Amino acid sequence: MQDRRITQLLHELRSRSPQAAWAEFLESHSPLILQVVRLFERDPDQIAECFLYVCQELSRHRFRRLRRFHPAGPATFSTWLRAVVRNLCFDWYRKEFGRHRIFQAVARLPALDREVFGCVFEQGLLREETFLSLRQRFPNLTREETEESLARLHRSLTPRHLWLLSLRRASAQPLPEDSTRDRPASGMEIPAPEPDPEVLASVNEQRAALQRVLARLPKPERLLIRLRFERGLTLEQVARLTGLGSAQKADYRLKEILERLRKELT
Amino acid sequence: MDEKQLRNLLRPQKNLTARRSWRCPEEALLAAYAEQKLTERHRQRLEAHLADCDFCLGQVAFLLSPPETAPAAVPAGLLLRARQLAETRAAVPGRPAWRWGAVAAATAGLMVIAAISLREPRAPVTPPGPSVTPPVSTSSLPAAPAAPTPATSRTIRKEQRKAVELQLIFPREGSVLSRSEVEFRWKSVRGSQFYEIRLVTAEGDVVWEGRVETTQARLPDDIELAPGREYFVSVRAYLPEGKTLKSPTVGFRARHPG
Repeated sequence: MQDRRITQLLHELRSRSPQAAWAEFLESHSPLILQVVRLFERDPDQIAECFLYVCQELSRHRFRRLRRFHPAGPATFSTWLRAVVRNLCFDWYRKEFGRHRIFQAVARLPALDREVFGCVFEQGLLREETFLSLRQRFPNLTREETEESLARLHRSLTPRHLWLLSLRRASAQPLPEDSTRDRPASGMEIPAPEPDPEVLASVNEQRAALQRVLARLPKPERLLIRLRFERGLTLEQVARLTGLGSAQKADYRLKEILERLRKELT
Repeated sequence: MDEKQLRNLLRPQKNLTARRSWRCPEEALLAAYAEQKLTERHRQRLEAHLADCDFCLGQVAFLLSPPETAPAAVPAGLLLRARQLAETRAAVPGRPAWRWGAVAAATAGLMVIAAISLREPRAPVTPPGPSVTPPVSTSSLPAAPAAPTPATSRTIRKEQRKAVELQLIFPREGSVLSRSEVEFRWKSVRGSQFYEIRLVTAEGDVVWEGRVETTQARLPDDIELAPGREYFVSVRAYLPEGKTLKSPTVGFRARHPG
């Protein structure tokens, strides 16, 4: 019934007077659009802007994007729409806050400074994390050099740069599955006290080693691990998605892979 | 290493930098995957992509995750503004008088240009040769003459504009090809850095995508085409300054063996 209505709605959107169909579409699906938009934005004004942007993109070129949905295809309309709206939210975010191009003032600085900028101001890493992260690429790097680089960056960045960076970080916060929620709202504020450097070093080394081992896994196994442990899907979801059948099978398979990972890591 | 440690180490690190790439499948495919409605073959192909694509993996996880908030009604004012988007678009045919003015001005301009070009004497007909351009040649871009007359230089400008097209030479629209015959050839586009080829089914599912710097590509051996099924191919040229140029889509059918 729902499918038939969607088919009819899409057909009416193709007509010369699609206003009624568009109104009906909004009536039934605008809550879903708003729900996805709210995952990206918390500020009411920004939510409204993003919502209107999504609607505008959906209606652009005589609803071309909506008409791309095939009712006879395997996906349901609402799931497809959620995926489309999420992509449009990303587009809006980029449109609103721009691509993260490096500032000219930073581009002129040495390679190390640019890397430090990326770590501290864009990724929001802490000083120690930055140092440990960069030491893989700059083996002779010392903590003092990292500090000096950071000082150079602070001298090069204008208040406007800092404001733009704070916008990026603030807007990035509400994104779903954002692992940086516990980070400072602004990339410039380095909180203290920092975690124990030794712990951080150990974690970074483990992470790098794990990535190396994961990269060697066959793709289906890598996907299983990523779905379960990186994206936090339940065993049931993993089993259904990957065709393993039952949560028990998925659990067994994951344990098998984990055991291999452990062996390789040790 | 226990599961908690693993989860901590694998926390998504690149959410904000992960971008949708040209390899990423359509939303419909990811939605169908999240709903477990793909065929085994399509599922396996998609999973091979998902294993290494942060963006698509994030999309799948998003589609499977329960919404953080319940769907709430959209404020009436906002809904009204959204509704008006269609009204303004629908009103386009009869709306702006200035558009008709612009069309009229453009038409008048074209008529003036046509009148001037008809009044001007034609360039003298010259015998064909490697350095001389026939004024009405259309197919390929000829070498520029050493000292063009005003009439011939105008012709060349028009031809250059026409030449910025990307056309598939092979396969031809509607052709029926055996698997071994399937290859893609297209006309070179000046300045292009590389080309992307995209082969899709009639349902829009991506069968193969490739990137080459030459003007031809062969389908990899591991890609199978279902006999009798229709496929569509298009090529996109990537030009300097981020510009792209897409060819018209060409449909062909895979031949039944024997």
